[in-house]
Amino acid sequence: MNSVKNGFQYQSNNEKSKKLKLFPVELVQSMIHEDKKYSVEEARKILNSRFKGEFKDIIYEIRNE
Amino acid sequence: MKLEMNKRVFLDTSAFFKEYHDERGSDILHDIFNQTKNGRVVVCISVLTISEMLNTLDKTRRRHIISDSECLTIADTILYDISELTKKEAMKIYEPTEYIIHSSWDLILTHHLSAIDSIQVITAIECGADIFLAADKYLLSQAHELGIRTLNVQESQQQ
Repeated sequence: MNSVKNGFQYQSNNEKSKKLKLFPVELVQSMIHEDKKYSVEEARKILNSRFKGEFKDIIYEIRNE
Repeated sequence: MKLEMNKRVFLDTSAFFKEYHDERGSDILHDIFNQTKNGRVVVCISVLTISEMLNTLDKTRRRHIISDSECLTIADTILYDISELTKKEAMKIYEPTEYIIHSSWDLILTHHLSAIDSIQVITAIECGADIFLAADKYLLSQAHELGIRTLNVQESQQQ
């Protein structure tokens, strides 16, 4: 609980930053199961017609539930 | 509002989704994704954004806003778009390393951010992003306090 007593501890460290790892794109591709695919425009059109709210509200719910 | 183009733009999930659904701030996201085509912009995300994107679509399906098949096809479409952008080096997907997770604990306790919010901010800073885009005022205020430029895509407000 040091950080609560002493305030903010985090400081960006360039050396450690360089060690950031990229997520392999092959794993993203491996999640694509269906043969049928929309274009981005078609996907957007479907979401626009079905959902009138803002996705940020659902994301907020997920993060805070 | 026209965003001054930066080389590396980090998108929180709340901003990322605006590329695929038209809502306040979508014009900024469409502009950014267009700029990736000429190499002026590289979009950076945490891999957690992919998890949250799937989580959000699933929640939309469970609320019967979209059908089962629409959910799966839209998920595939976005995953395909992400993989194509990544292959062209127009997008970078970052993993939450031990260092990111460890640093995020501090932010949870001192900045009162949620676990995911804190990982998003640390990832943006550590990947060397020029600007952090989100649609959450509190998250943006804390990111700005940590020294990264921010843009509230909801209100076209830069800090």
